[in-house]
Amino acid sequence: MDRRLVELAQGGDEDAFDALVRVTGDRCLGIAYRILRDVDLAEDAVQSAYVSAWRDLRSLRDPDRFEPWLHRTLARACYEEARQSRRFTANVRSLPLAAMSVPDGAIGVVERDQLERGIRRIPVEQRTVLVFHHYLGLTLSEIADRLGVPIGTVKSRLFYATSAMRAVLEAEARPSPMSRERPA
Amino acid sequence: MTAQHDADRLVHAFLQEGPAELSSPLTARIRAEVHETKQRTGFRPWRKSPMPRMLWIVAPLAAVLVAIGGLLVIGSGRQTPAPSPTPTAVPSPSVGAASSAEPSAYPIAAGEAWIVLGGTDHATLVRSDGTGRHDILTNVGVSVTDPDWSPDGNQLVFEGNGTRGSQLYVVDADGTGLRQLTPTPDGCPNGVCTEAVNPAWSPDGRSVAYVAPQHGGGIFVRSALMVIDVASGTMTEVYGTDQATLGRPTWSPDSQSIALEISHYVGSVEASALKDTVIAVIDLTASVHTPRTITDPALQGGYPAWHPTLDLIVFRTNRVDNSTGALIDPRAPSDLYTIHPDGSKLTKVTANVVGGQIVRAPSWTPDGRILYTVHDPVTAAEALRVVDVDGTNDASPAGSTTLSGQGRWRPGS
Repeated sequence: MDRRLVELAQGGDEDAFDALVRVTGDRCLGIAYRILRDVDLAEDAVQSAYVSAWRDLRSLRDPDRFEPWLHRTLARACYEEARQSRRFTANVRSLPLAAMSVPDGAIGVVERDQLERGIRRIPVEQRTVLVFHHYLGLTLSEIADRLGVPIGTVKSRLFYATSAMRAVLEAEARPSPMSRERPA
Repeated sequence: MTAQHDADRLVHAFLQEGPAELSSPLTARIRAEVHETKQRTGFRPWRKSPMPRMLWIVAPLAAVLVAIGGLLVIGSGRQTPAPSPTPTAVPSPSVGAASSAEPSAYPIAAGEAWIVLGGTDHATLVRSDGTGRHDILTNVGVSVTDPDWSPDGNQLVFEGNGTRGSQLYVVDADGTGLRQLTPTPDGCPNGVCTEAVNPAWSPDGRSVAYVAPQHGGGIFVRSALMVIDVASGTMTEVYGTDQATLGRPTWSPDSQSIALEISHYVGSVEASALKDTVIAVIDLTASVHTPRTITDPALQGGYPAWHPTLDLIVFRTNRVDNSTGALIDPRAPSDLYTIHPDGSKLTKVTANVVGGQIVRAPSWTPDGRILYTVHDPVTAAEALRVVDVDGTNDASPAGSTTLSGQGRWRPGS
């Protein structure tokens, strides 16, 4: 991250902030989409986060910390979007595969469907920790620092989110009672 | 273990999928809205703002006038009232910035039964019959965790997670009058950051107990049980350790003792697996505040809550080890128990099965029932329940309405 760009933006330079949006925007949309599971909501959250970031940019103490600070702002925007929106579980617009970054052969269609349904059941704050951990590759300490919550809270949220996702996959993998062999 | 590993691998792969880039229309929308938005003046509490030049003239003049006024009052034989201390130790920068408009008050009638639920970025209040549900503390710049009622039921203390970590805040029950209780430290002296979590208001209303975790670079340093005087803001360390983590303090009815949970680890604190969690009691009237363990470590007891009038503590067993993602003892269920503060009369309240629902966050209703949260490990659903102390009449506190989250019942209602 270009420290100079952040400092210029803190001084009110809109072009510098625009450059920051271009540098950090893809990652932010990626985070928001993975948390909210809906492109429209994700775009709204990203827009809201950047406007908040612009408004409060002068309160950022260390310009080198711009991106972690932005991610915290984005997480709050996602919470707000999930809380306010009634579209959260309905009217979901999926991106065409061409617009998605999909690792080849990593995951099957059926499993993806299971995981999609599973992640939607998880509270948004737990989902956020899951995304920060798996997508951003952050450690628990880094997530705590980035979200501004105690590390115990992060651990707890990650536990419940991970358990829920495992449970979904295990439940789907379990044979139905009808197909089980009757014990001798 | 292999199945879990496979599941985790799939989840990891799944979370790599998503949109690849910000669209041009969105970029344009952001640019347009930024252009219409004015930047806030920077608020940097760690920098001392220079005194405006005009104040260099006005301030000494005002001081002289105040001194003369004071002499006149003393000379007339009347006493100047002492300034009343306020619980506002230091205003939060984030709260101050975000709550420029005072939220409209939602009336909370005296004696009316309400339950407060901690949310991520707000608190929810709902009557015990499920009506009147509304959020407070939205858009205040901090997320809201572990709200606890003042004993008169007129205020709430909560842990607010802001841009500088967690500190305690107090708000009137109608959602107005937000103020910061524990001050935000000026940075992290010697690289150690101190936060304030898990607040519990004392029954006499004078103090709030809380835990002050200290971390340096995300690594555990120390955990301390603290008490803050609500009126003066004076903070006192009751007990501290670098060998364990402390949590969930709860007061005895006479405000003379505090029970809390103490978690031990097999190696480095917080960096290794949990070894055990116990409930301990600290006598505040004793000269030395040594925790007295009252539960068997094998029980893995935690989250104590002291009965509002009796010598009885409710707690939950078999907590989750967040580093492994499983209950500490996978062969045992997760249940509620009660115990006397001297460690006697351990009594099981719930009767869950191994692998069944996980209970947490128990607390008491004013009439001596237990309010608690159940977590379904399969569906990840959470629900607030209330149960009699003998384990009977387990139900949703709001009848047919399902409430989720961790709840606290308003005292005196």
